[in-house]
Amino acid sequence: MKTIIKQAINQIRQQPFFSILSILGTAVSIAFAMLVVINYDIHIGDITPENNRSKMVFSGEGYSYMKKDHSNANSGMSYRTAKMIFNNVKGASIISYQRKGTMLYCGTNKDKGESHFCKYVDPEFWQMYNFKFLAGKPFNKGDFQARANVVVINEHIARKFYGSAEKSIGKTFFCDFTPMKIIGVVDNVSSFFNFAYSELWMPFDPTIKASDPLYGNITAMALCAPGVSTSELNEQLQISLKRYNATLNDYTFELKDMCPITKYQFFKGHVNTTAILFLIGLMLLVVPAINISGLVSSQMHHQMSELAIRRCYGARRWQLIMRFINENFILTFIGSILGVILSYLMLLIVKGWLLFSETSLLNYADCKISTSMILRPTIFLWVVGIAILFNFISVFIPVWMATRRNIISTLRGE
Amino acid sequence: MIKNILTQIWNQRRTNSWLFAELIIVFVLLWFCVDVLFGLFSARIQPKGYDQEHVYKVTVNCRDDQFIKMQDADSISRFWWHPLSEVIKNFKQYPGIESVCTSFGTDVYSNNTMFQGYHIDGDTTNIFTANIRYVDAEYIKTFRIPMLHSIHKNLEDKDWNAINNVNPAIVSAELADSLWGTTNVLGKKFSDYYSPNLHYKVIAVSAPQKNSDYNRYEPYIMTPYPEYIYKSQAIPSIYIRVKADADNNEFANSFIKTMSAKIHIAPFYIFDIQSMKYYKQLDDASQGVTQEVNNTVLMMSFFVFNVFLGLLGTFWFRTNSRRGEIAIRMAMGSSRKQIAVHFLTEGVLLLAIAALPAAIISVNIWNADLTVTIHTDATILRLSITLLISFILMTIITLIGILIPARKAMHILPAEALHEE
Repeated sequence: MKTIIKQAINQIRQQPFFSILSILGTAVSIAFAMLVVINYDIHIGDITPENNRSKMVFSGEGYSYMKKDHSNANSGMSYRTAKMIFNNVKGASIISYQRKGTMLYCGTNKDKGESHFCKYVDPEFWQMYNFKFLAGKPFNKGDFQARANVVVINEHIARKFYGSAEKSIGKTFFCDFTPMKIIGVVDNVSSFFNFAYSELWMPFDPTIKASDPLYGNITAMALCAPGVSTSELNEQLQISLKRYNATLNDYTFELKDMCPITKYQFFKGHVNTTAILFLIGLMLLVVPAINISGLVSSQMHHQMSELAIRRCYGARRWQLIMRFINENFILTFIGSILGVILSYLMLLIVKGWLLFSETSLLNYADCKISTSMILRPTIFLWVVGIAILFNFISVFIPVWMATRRNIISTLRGE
Repeated sequence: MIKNILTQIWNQRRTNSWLFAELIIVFVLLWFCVDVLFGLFSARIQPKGYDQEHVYKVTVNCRDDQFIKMQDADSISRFWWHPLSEVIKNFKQYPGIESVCTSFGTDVYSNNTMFQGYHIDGDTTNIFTANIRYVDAEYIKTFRIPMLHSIHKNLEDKDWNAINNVNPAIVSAELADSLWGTTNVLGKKFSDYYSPNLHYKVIAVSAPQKNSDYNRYEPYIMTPYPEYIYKSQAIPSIYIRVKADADNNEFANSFIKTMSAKIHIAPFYIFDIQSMKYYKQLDDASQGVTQEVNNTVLMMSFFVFNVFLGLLGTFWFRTNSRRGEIAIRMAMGSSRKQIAVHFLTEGVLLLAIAALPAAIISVNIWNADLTVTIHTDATILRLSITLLISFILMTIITLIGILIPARKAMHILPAEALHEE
């Protein structure tokens, strides 16, 4: 270890400019690659509370219109329609419906209120997502069917109005002037979780009438049963949708955005995200790799005669190559560490900007990034591993090309 | 000089090749990013067909505990629309308010849209759909909608009354053009496709309209409220225009405080007031434009930084290995400034040579329809402008990247440098 540090210090001292440039280049490329990957991961990774994302299929918004002339077009899906399509699909273990969230006027009494974000959910919502209950419990099927006036709040509201999570349980909280009983307090959810995020969660009205229209403001989420893949579940749901359409006489109902949630998170599943991100990632690696190759080859230019003389005295080609790679490995190593630190620093500074979403604009949007969201060792190792590999290639190519040159012509100065 | 530099670039092709490759790749990538931003920007600077500066949206809600479901048209009028109009009347009396208006249907900066089909009387085969916006007469004033043609310079309240069952309508230039092929269509009549008894007469043609900054123009129609709205318990969108000198950061806060304390008209309460700027932000976010811009800028800065680093490094080593050459140039009478200019020209020439293949690649990408054209069309003009912007950007980075090593070269002492060997 000591010799490595000594060697590194020596090298930086000998070629300060080259070393700094090389370290900086590596650090920045790793930092950006990390940012892209973390961004990707925060959107699609299985992270608490949305830790079932890789097994979920999302309905998206519905769209219905009259068959004969495309009239009476409406966006959205009603609870009745959603249940017709999603219930009884074999490949799903849990199906949860939620109504679009809104800002609500709420407070401890009717006269004094503030606006807070509220989501209307069903009891399955609490199984679908992994909320941490600080006090109380979620509402159950009975509460839901009985249309009980109960509400689950987040820690922020509990502390603000009642001082603590425990103290708020059982209290009456006025939401839109209606008294609601607080039955549970959950830990704050970061607004990066579009589906789980809210400040208040209430059961919605589960009444279904035969006269309900096709449109409404319900979205559905289905969780794969064990052994069923998201694409299989998606396929089953598409078939169910087709079957439902066959029962409609005058109307057509569409779910254009229905797809596995990991696809929906980017471009609503209409574009091959993996391919685009792969391309972006490649660009992020290739451009700095060329940079470093250019730098190394410029630097080699000075050492050509030294290399030629070494070869004259019997050094083998791979020995020369190894020397350069060794030297550069230290620089790459320092660069990688700096890069990772830099990426977390950048993420702290630009998180609101980089991970900006609709929910970030809500009044008390909590843009916290917990360590569990970013300190995921597999991702970290992958990024650093690939970056080091690219670095290795970018050093190897110019060195290999340089050592291939004829010794005599080099010594002659040609 | 240029010929001399070109020869030098050729002679150093081995070390230049890496830099050259990087310049080409980054040029293309940078151009793509510039093109994305340009598409957004040019959509943004198009006039939207209304002015939302100093306009606020007031959200009035119904209190859940005072809500009574009603069926009878008379009671709805008495217990719903009458109190609601009282609330709105109160807004007008607030100091600094220029006008107050309400609307239904397709909302500004929102994906809350409503469509209807229209046709010229007698021709039910050609139906054109348009965004419908039911508005009161004040709406035109509040949003300062510019008119291409209008029966009066300033529309009056009485223009907003139906005559002989024919409703007045303001059509946007797009809708006028689809229906009649021209925008000068004052007084022309047309009908609703789905409700054959609904007839309209054009009283004004508005400038092209779009719902949000980054959308394309869409056909619009603005007409008075239909009867059915007054038979339902609905709350329209309420907008207020504040006089420019009364508008400040505190306006929204003091408005809601004063009004909430003053207005107690069951079953309504004032829930929220937000500037149109806020709704624009919200709309940008939900359309994904904000993320698009942020990510593109981030990518661009990364590429720019890399090119900067590459040029800085390559030219730094180059000044080192060409100390002798620089010294001879100085000895032969070159000024220090000329030395720096020599290096800068070399960089720009290298870029110019790289720009050629890069431009060819870009044109091919453009030709293959791989550019982002959601917001603006990919025209030749757009291509040329974005290529030019990219070239200027690259030139600036090149100059900055080379300036540091060039300054170093400027300070070489010829006597010392020539003495070295």
